[in-house]
Amino acid sequence: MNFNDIKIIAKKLYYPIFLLEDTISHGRRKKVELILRITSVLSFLTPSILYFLNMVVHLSNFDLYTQKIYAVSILLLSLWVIVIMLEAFYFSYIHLDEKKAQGIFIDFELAYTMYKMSPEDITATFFGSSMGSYFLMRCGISAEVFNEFLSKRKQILSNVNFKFNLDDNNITWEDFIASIFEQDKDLQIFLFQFSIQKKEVIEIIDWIIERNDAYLFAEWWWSKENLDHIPSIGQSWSYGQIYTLQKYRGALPMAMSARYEVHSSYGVDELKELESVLSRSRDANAILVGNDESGRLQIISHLARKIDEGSVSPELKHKTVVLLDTDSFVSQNGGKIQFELELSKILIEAISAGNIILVINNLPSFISSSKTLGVDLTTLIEPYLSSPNLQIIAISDTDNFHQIIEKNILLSQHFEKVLIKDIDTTNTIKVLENEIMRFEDSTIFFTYQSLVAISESAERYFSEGIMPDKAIDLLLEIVPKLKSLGKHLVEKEDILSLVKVKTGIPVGELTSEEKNKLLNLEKILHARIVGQDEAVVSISNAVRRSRSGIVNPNRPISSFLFLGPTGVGKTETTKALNDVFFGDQGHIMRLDMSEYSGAGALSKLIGSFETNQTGILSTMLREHQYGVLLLDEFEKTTEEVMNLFLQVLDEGFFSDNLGKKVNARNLIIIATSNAGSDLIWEAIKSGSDLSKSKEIIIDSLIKQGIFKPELLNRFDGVVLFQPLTGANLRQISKLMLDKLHNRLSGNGINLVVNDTLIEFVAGHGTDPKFGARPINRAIQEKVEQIIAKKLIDGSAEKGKGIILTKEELY
Amino acid sequence: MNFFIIFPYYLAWHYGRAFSNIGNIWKNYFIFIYNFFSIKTLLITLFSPWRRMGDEYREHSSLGDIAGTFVVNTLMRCVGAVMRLIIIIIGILVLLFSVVLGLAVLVIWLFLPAVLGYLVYFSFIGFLK
Repeated sequence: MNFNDIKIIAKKLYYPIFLLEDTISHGRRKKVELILRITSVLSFLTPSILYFLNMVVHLSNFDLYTQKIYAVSILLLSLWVIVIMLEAFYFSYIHLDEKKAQGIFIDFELAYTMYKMSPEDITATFFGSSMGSYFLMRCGISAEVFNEFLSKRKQILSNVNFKFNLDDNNITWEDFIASIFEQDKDLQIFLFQFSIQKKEVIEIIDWIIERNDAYLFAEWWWSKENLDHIPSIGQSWSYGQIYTLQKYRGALPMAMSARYEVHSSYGVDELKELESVLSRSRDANAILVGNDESGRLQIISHLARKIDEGSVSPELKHKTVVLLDTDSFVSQNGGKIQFELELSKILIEAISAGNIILVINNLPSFISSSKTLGVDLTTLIEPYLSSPNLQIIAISDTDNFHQIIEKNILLSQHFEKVLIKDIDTTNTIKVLENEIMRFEDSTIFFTYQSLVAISESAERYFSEGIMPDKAIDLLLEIVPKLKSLGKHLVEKEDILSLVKVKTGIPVGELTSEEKNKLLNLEKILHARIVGQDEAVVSISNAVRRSRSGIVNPNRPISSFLFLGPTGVGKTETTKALNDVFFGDQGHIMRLDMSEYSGAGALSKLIGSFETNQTGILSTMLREHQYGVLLLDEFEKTTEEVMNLFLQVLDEGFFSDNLGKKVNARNLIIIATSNAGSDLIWEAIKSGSDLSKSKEIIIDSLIKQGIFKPELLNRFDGVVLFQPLTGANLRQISKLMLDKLHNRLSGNGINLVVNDTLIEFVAGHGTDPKFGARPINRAIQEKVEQIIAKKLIDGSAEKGKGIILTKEELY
Repeated sequence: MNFFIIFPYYLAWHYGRAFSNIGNIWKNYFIFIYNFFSIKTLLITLFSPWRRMGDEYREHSSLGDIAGTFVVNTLMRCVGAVMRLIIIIIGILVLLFSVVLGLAVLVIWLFLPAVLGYLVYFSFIGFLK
């Protein structure tokens, strides 16, 4: 089927109203109808005003005036009726339900869009239509950018090369837009720049269409579906009252009517399951288990909404969903007897009312707080649970469900478990699409990519909380910020830059300054790290990889094992890396792994269930989610701990003593070790290239059983640090003396750093076992000492240069 | 120009499918009114006690108590029946009204194009006079 074939079908179905739309569109007609309605009513009122006016002051030509006004009124009224008739004509055509069964069907909006498109240039005319341009807006593509693309195309999709593959008799927007996308290769490349591929194209058009249909549906107020949803009178008259329960009734969150929201499949199966459990004749109680607090209540709200609208099984019709506010119940009924009496009263009342679905939020915490009052909640409520006149929905989180409810035989007998499945990204975006309806107006408009960015950032950078809650929280936080910035169009970059501010993790598009920094990373690192070319190069590469977003998001940002003798710059490299990657926001978390070498090392790090002690590592990572985790002397820790890091490096998280996940995905993990230093030293002494001996050195570490091969493989890089040689030492001495110079000049002391001084300091670093560490000591113990003496005995004055001579030094 | 092309299509619709549309809408409203006043539910539960109010018969209670309870319960049933009957009667009246209104709409619809043409023409003339 080609484009013209579809156009013929469209015309056959809707030609009369195409003409009508061309003459005066539906939107215009609506406005005209409103104006005519108001003016005709007003014009009918004017003669009576004139009549009273005529009684007070006599008007000449009164009769003529009223006659003319009546004529105008009738004219306006007639025109109003004509517009209404045209609208009826229009609606009769656009809701062509009976035609759906016969032959190929196209939805009116699509048919009209296609009717207006030119077969010579399908892409350009589609994106010029109102639907097409709205689509571009949702993609964050401006008309100028798109026009530029149009002018540069190599091929133009026309009726000649456009093929439409129809899989059923219904031509949908999805089919249509997917056909354009698949056949216009230039368009594919163009949209790809905006991170839009076929999946996104379909998602965006679905979003637009679902919203559009909801508006159309609302206009169609006389339809059976709309009328069905108006609640009836007197349905609850045969049911009893719930005076006591009313006192503790909590508010359910607002549920959007199912017809007006963008449909996600999140919670849909759960709602169905809940309905079927509640429709049973006995023991119709369910326990809803999930960690997403607002999601759990949303499912209940949707159930209540469905019952109100009457679209449930006959068993659930006329039921009333009542949320028991357990907190308020517990606080108002402090004594054991009072608690028991009041709760029994509520349950008896609910049963005699006969139409109550009682919702107990957080059943586990209700059980434990009743326990503190000495009440055994389970035995208290048990007799009421099998009543055919009462249904109970209990709500619980997963952990407490397993710990408290599942172990309780009575409860698990009476309650059927309904488990809420985790939400995926596609559905999270749909949830966000519904959420933003509250915010979108003339001042703010979200692109699809911005919603993707919210969903992905929430998942990746915020470890506390549950999806989609986290994403909604992030959205709620972002909206006022964007509004204060005067942002109208919300794009991916806006979201990422706010995430960057919040977390310190560099995300989003690279600024030119950042680009510069990344490209010259080796130079920047070398300003602080002397020698160690291999280390600098592999770190720079890892940072660039991570920053360009091509790394696996389910692992730490980067991980390295630094091997080499002490004092060769391993710590300095870590510091430099932290500064470069995280800027001011970074935080180095250092663990001396030699402290975790004995029995119980693992529980010291992650906490212990038996002693209920929290772990050092888990606390550390909860406090600072972003930064560099430095594990010094890694080889000294136990095998258990190494296995823990095997998981951390692989999956980016671990579970603490209570089984709670601790996120390590926003960390750069650096383990240092001087295992193998002797081998490195020998390799250098024999004059061989270190990069060539690397394999031998690593093999020998494995053979000695210091590190397991699978652990070494998990690191992004194993980096060998070389022992420092003469020239390196001089450079380091200079760097350190410059640092001292800077510190002193802050106090008005001008230390002259000359060759003599450098030579002297470098001379202390000749022992390869200690690397550059003695240099630091020489500066502190000798150089600073001499300067202090000079300042005290007056041989050096503030402001004047201090030159240290050979005699003073040696 | 379009207007003159649309007109025949419009008339074809007005005297064709529009009738089935009106019929459908009419049916929708009839069902809606029937449901809105819960006529069926209220008839079935006509003599149920009002909002399940009333006393329970207790064991070993005196004849006077039983009689009292009986009176209270009967009263509640009566209250319920009266309330329900009121709604049922209103509902039936509205249903009858909708039938009349529907018929009226059909009749008006038949003549509407002519009537509107007449009104537009004469109001225009009337204004110019």
